[in-house]
Amino acid sequence: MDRRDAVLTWPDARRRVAHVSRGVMVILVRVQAFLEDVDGMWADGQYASGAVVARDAVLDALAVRGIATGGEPSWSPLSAAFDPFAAATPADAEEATTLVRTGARLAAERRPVDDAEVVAWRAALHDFVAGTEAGLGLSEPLPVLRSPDGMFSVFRLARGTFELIDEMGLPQVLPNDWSSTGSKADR
Amino acid sequence: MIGDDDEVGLARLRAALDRWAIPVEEVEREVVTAFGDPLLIVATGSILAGFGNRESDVDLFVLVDSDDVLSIPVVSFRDGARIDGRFFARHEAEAWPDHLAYGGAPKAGRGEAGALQVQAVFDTATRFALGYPLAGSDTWRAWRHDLRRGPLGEQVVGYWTAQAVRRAFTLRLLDPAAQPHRVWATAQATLRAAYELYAARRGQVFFGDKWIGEKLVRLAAPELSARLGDVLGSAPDEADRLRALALDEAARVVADDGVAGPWQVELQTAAGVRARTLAGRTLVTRWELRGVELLDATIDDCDAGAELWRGTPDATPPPHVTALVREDMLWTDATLC
Repeated sequence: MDRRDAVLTWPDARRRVAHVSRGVMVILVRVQAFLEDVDGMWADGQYASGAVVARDAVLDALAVRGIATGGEPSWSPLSAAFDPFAAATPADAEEATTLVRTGARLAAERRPVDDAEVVAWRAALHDFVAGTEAGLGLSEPLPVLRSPDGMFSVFRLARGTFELIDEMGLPQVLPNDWSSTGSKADR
Repeated sequence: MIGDDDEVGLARLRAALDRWAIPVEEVEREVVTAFGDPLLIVATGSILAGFGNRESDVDLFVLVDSDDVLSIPVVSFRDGARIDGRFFARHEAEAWPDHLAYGGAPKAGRGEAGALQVQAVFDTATRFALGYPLAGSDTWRAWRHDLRRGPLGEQVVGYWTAQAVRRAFTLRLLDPAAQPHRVWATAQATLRAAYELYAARRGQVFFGDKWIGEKLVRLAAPELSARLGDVLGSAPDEADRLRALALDEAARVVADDGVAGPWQVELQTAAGVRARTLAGRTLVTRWELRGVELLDATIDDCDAGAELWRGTPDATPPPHVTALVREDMLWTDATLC
């Protein structure tokens, strides 16, 4: 990205669109929910599941960062060959693995939610996601999807995006669990 | 029969709703009727499955006799409770049995799109089966009862067998020395799929692998919990050991608990992939954003969904096909022969 006068310039506009469209949806639909899950699981002593979900949040956020620098913009929970580290900087890769490993250790030690190290780790998780969102270069913070007006905010944000990625032949970004379980052709 | 008795589900629902002082009888009023009168309303989700926590929402799955339903969640907030409504057309539910049989290629189609649809059907059908029926006609209450009594449990076992087979196959093709972080992450995913299979075989069929930690606790499987903690907590520079651990565990669980094979693996070009000829070499691109050139082999020009290789799970594809797996250009399916 290059900031000149009143504009931002991008050497690869396709990649910019892929980064923003996928990044916004992954953070809104998956990562925000994962962070809520981690908090709820840890507060209720579901440590092992909390560590697993924290891992998913971190790797999704890492993969979003990587889209900007050459990573694959299309993945799903079923992607066996997807590599969230493919385009990660060494610093991001180190931070991501440290967050996952720390969560696993705190879970194994069954550290309670108010333990100082758990508090610091959860804050670091949120910071990692916030840094990922900041990397999208949006003009305002993302809404919280799972809030009373969250869905409306998302529709406002997404206005025109679905058409744009369709025109550019980029991957669609709606999550799988928002799609129908069967088409009319199944009848 | 899968799942707990309805009385258990009702007790869990009441306990969750008590936090917000909402009577169970009032929950169904949150269902909008814009898609027609409901045939069946089921309260479901992690709370009903016994995994819920203070951040969990209540899911209402609603079956309607209409072709045009909104497939995205309809969320309502009441007294601090978050209630997610999902609507499903009757014709969808009537087609589910075709997708649930994870024998040959899924009816939904090949590749990632078909696999995602199959996953969505499993997720939805198990949630209808494991939830608590708040309202509905006798016909559709009986349909749900049949879903619980039928082959769904064994079909979930088949689903996770396929997932463990395809994840392990991919993991085996990766190079720990060249891509330690990727092997680290893929070993975790492989072990989770294998342990979901272990859990499903023992009746834990609630879909959503984020709960694998709690499932292993519920099943009193401390050795498995420890191994899961090991692969999450170890450093990527132990990728060689973690890969061996995940492959051994996947092979053991598939043999002990999986649906008997023979299984086969199919590799096809992934979504967004195109193969074209460039100056005598094959150029494989994905979304026109990434590309690789094959140096020692060529493949025919093709788009997404072209089958490049098929074999047994312990076979190794040709080097150029393995390279395309490593470059995330291929989709891996595992199906019964």
